[in-house]
Amino acid sequence: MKSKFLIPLLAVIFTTAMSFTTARTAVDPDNDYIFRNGNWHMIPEVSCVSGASDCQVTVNPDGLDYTVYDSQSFGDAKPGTGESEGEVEL
Amino acid sequence: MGIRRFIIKILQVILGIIFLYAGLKKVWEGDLFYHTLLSTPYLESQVFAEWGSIGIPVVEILTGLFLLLFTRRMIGVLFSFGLMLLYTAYLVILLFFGDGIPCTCRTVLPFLGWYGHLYFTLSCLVLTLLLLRLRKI
Repeated sequence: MKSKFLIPLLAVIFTTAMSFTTARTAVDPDNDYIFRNGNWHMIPEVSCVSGASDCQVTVNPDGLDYTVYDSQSFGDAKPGTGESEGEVEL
Repeated sequence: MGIRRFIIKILQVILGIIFLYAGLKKVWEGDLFYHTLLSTPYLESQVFAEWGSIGIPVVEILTGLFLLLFTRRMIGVLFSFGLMLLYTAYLVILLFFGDGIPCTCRTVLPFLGWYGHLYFTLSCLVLTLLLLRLRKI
């Protein structure tokens, strides 16, 4: 009787904790970010095509390509084809 | 406890964890799922995004709870089968008949690619079918 209820209850507690810790609350759904000259810059949301590399965008007036991030964190790089998905003005 | 009952219990716990995790994660992430639905291919609709961003997590959480805690586990198993079938069908359409594939950055398991998600949902569908078979439906 105890094990019948205990294991599912532990599973619920474990899953609740796991979902809370892995939730990406810092992700901004309306904007993306690039890291340029030691600072984070907000850019409009970029539609990245899924791929094995990082999503890139060309920044004007640099003309250089930068990796697109979903938040101001290097761990949130958006996956892409590795080629520029468009141009943005800063 | 027989082998059959043990396997049924394990499968219910695994599927329950998967659905509960997916549903709760969408809740914790706030309006991120709403924006994800708005930009999802073939589903870009304000109405669908509004209702889906509330309804889908609720259904997933309830499915998980039915599989794990509530006595009427068959409801959870049937919902599990229905949801997995829907997700698998959507992924097949997106990957094999779609024009472009969006990034997986907003999915439940972002470290998996789209094909990884397809294999994952197919595996879960097989587990659900096995569970249905074991429960003799």
